[in-house]
Amino acid sequence: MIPATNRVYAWFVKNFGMDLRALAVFRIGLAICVIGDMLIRSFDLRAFYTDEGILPRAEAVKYFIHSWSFSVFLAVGTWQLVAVLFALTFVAAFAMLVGFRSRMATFIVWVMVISVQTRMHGVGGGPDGLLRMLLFWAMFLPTGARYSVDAAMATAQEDLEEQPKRIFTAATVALMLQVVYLYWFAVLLKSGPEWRHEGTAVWYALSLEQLQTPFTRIFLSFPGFLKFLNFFVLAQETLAPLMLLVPLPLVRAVGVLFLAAMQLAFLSTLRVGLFPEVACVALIPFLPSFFWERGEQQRQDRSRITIYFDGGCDFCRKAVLILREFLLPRDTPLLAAQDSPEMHAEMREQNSWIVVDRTGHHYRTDALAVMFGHSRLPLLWYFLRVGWVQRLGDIAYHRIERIRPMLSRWMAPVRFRKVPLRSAIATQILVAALLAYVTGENLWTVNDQYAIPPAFQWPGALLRIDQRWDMFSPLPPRYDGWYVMPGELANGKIVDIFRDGEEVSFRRRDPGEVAGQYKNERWRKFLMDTSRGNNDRYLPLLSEYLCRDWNRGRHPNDPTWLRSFEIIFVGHKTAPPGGTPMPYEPSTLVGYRCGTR
Amino acid sequence: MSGVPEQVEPGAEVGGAAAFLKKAWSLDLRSLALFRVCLAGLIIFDLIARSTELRTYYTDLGILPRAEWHALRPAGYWSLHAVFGSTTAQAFLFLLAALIAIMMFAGWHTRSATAASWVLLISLQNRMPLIETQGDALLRLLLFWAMFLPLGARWSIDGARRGFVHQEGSDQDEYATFTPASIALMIQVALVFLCGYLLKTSPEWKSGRAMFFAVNMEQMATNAGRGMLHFPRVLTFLSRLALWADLLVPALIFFPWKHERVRTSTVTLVIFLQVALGMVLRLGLTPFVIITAMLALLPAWYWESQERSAHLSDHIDWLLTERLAQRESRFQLPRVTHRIASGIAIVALAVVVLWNITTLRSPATPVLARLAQTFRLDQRWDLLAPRPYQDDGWYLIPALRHGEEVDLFRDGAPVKWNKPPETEVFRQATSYHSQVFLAKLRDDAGRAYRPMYARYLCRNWNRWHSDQSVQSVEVDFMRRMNLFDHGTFSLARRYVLAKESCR
Repeated sequence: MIPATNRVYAWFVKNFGMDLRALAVFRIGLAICVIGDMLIRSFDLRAFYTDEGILPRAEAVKYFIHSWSFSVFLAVGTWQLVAVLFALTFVAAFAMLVGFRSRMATFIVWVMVISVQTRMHGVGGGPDGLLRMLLFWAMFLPTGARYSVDAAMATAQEDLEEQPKRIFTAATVALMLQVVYLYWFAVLLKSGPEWRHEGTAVWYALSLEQLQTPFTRIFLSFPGFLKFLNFFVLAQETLAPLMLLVPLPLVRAVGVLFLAAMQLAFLSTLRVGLFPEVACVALIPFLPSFFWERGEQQRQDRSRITIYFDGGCDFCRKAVLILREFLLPRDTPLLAAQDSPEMHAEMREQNSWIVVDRTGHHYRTDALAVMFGHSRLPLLWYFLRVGWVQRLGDIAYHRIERIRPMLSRWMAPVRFRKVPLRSAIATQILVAALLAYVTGENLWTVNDQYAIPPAFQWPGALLRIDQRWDMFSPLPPRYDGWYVMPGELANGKIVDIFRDGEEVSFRRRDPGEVAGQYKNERWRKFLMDTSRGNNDRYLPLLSEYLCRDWNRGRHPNDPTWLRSFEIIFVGHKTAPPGGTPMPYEPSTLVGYRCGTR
Repeated sequence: MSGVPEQVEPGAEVGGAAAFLKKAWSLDLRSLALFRVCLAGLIIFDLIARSTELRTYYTDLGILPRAEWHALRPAGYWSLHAVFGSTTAQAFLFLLAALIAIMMFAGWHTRSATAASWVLLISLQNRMPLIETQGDALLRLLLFWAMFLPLGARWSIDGARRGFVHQEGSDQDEYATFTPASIALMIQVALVFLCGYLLKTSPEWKSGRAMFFAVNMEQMATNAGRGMLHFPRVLTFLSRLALWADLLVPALIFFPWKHERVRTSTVTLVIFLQVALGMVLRLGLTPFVIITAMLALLPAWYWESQERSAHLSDHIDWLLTERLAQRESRFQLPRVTHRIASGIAIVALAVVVLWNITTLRSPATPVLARLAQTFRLDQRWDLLAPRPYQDDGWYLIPALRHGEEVDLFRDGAPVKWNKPPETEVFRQATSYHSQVFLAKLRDDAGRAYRPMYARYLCRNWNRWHSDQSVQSVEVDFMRRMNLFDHGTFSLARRYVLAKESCR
C-alpha cells in the first residue's frame, strides 16, 4: 500500500472506526437484551407461538407472513417443541454473552430472533426492529475480538503487540449509520402538526394512561415544560446523531451521553418494552477509545500480578486464559508452575493455583479475589474477601479440582485459534450493498415516491432488514382506555374474563389500574393496536383463543364453562393540554360465541 | 489361616452364559460402518427420487400448501420444510440434506451428521404424510437408532483421526459393540418381520395367492412382475417364502448357537427375498432399506472368514489413517452422556415395542401416541397386509375446457372411457412416489387429499397451458375387481373422487 493511503486509512480508523472493546461490550449488551426479550416472551409461549395460541400456523401462513419471510417457529406447533427452540435460543445467546464462537452464536441468535418476530407480528414493535438490525450488523463485526472466550484462546498464540485496538470496515459504517437513521428517520416521520407546530405531542404521548409509569403524572402537571420537551426531543434526535458523526472522540462521547440520557427519560416515563435498553446498547460502539483506557494506566502502575497454573491441566490453562481476558491487561504473565521448581513445589503443597502480587502469594478463592482487585470490577474483590464467601469458594474450588479431567474433556471444543479482524473484500461489498438497501428502505418510509420496486422487496422480507422508525409518528395516538370482557358462563353468571373472572364493572379505572391491566409489554402492544382497530384480522383468532384459554382443563358440563363473551374497550380521546377530559364510552369490538369458528 | 483365600468370582456360571449371549448379540463395528455407508447412500437416492417432484409435493404451489397441511397433519408432526413455501427454499433444504448425507457417508462428524439427517428426513416425510411407505418408516427408524450407535468407528474420517480406538461401551473386543442401542436395533429389525407376519392375516397369504394379486395391479407391478403371471408356481413359492421368512427371521436373528453362520445365512436369505420382491413389484427403496438394516447385523465371523472382506475393511481404515492420522483428536463423548443416551434408547425401545403391540390390537394411549408421533417412532409393518389390494384400475381426469371434456392425464386429449393399454396405466404414475400417492388417494387415507389434488391439477394445467385453460376438473378412478377364481376381472366402475371448479 502507498503510505498516503495508509495515512488516510489510519485517520479513518482513528476517527470513524470503532473500538474492539466497545464492540465486545456491545455484544454482551445485545446478548443480555436477547435473553431478557426471550424470557419475557417465554411467559406467553403458548399464547403467541403455538398452534393452541392466538395464531395457529395454518392461519399464520395464510395472511400474516410475507412469502419471502421465514420463521423457524413454523416448523413446530406444540409448546414442548417451541420450548426446545426457545432453549436453543437461550443457549446461543449465552454463547454470545461469553463470546464462545461469537460469530456463529450471533448468527444463530439472529435467525432465532427474526424467526420469533416473524412468527407473531401482532406482538411486535418497540425494540424489535432495532434489536434485529443490531444483531444483523453484529454478524459482520469482530464482536468476539475482546472480552470473550474466543479472544482468550487467541491470546495464547497471537503476538499481542500486533493486534489493532480499533477497526474501520463497511460494517462499522453500517452500524454507525443504522443508529443515526434510527433517530433521523424518526424525526422525519414525526410529521404531525402536534410535533412540528403545536408542540403538544409529548403531552399526548404521556397522557396515554395505558403507557404511564408512576413518574409520568409528575410531568403532566407542567404542560409548558412538556411543550419545551416536544421541540427539545426533535432537536436532540436531529443534532445528537450528528455529533456521533463528528470525527472528534470527545464530541462523539457527548453525543452518546445526550442520547443515553434521552433514552433513560423514556424508560422512566413510558412503558415501551425494552426499547430504551436496546437503544442504549446501540450507543455502546460509539464510545471512544479513551473511555476504555480510562484508569488502565493507574491499574497497571499500582502493581503487576503474575499467575501460575497447573501446566498439565488443559482446563486450568483455558480457565486462567479466560479470566485474564475478561479481567486483566492482556500482557499479564501466565506461567505454568511446572516451569519453576519452587512454584511447582508450592502448587503441590497448597494444591492450588498461585497469584503473586506485591503483597505476596495467594491461593484458591483468595487468588481470584486478587484478580478482581486488579480488574475493572474491584467491588467483587471486597465481596470475595468476606470470610464465609471465601470458605464457600474454597469448597467449590476443591469440588472443581476433583473433576478437572472431566472438565478438560468438556472444554475440548474450546479450541485455540485466532479471531479474524478484517473481513474479506467480498463481505465488505455485500455489507455496503445491504447498507444501500437499508437506506432505501428508510427513504421509502418517508415518501412513497422512493418505494422499492416489488421485484426487489425480497431481501427486506427474507433478511428482515425492513424497518420503520415510527414510534409516536406521525402523531402520538390519542385513544386511551381499558378493556372489559363480560363473558357468559354455563351457569348463567356474567364475569369479566379479562380480569380472571371478576365481577363485571364499568366504573372509571384509576390510571394505575389502566397501566397495569396488561400482563406484559407484548400484550400491551397487541391489545392497544386491537383497540385502535389495527388488528381486525386477529380479532376472530383472538376471540377463539380466549375461549380455548378460559375453557382449558374445564369440562363442557362445568358450571364455569365459558359460552360466549364480548370484547369491550372503554375509551376516550385524550384531551389537549388544559382541555377538559372527555367522557369514557364503551365500544364493542366483537361479540363471540365459543366454538363457532 | 494360610495365605490368601482363593479368588472365586461370584456368579462365574452366570457370567459365562451372559458372555455367551453378549457375544452372540453384539454388533460388529465393520458391519455398522457398512450400514452407515448404505444408509447415507439411501438418503441420497431418496432425495434424488423425491427432487424430481419437489414442487408437486413439498411447496405451496403443489398438492399440499402449508395452510392445508396444518389442517390435516397429525397433531405431533413438525417439519422444517414447513418453514418455507417456495420451491427455491425447498431445493435448498434438499441440498442441505444431501450434503449432510455425504458427511455421514464419509464418516465426518458422524454422530452430528446422523442426527441432522434424522431431523431433516422426518421433516421431509412429515411435510407430505400421504406418500409415506414402509421403507420410509424403516429408514427414519434406522437413522434414529443409528444416532445411538458407533457408526463412525470404522471406515471413517472420525475413526482415522482418533486412530480407530473404540471407546463406547466397555467392550474388550475391539470390533464388537454391545449397548442398549445395539440390542434395540436388533429388536427393531426383528419387529419389522414379526409384526409383518402377524398382520398378514388374510386367507390369500395362507393359500399362497397373495403375490398373484399383487402383480395383477397394473400400476404396482413391474414388467418382470407382469411376466411372472405366466409362472404361477413361482409366485406361490414367493408368497409362501415371504410369509415364512417373516416368522423365521426374528428367531434367527436372536438364535445364540452358532450365531455366526446362522446370522450370515439369514442376511443372505433376506437379501435374496427382497431383491426378488423388488424385481416384481414397484416398491421404491423399500427392499434396499430392509437389506441395509440386515447388513448392520452381519456378524464378525463374516468379516474374519471372508478374507477379501476383511482385507478390504482393513484397507479402507489403513488408507484413511494414512491421510488423516496425527490430526487433532476428536472430542469424545463423556461417559455421562453415553449413559444418558443409553437411557433414552431404552425408553425409545419401550415406546417402539408398545407401539407395535398397539398396531396389532387397540389404538395407542394419547401419551404414547404423542411421543411416537413427535419423534416419529410410529410404525406399522403392513406392506401387502392383511391382504394385497384385490382391486385394480386407472385414473381419468376429465376437465371442462370451454364445454369440451378433455382428459388431463392424456395431455388434454378427449376423454375415452374404455380401458387404456397396460403400459399407459403404468405410466399414469410418473414415479414411485406418485404411484404411492395415486394408490392411497383412492383409499380412505387419501380422502382429505382428493379436493386438494383436483385443485392442484387445475392450477398446474392452467399454469403451463394458459391458452387452453380448463374451468373445472374431476378426479375419477375406474375400479375393477380381481375375480381370481374366474381368472378374470369384473367390469370397471367409475368412482368420482373429487370435482372442483378452477379458480
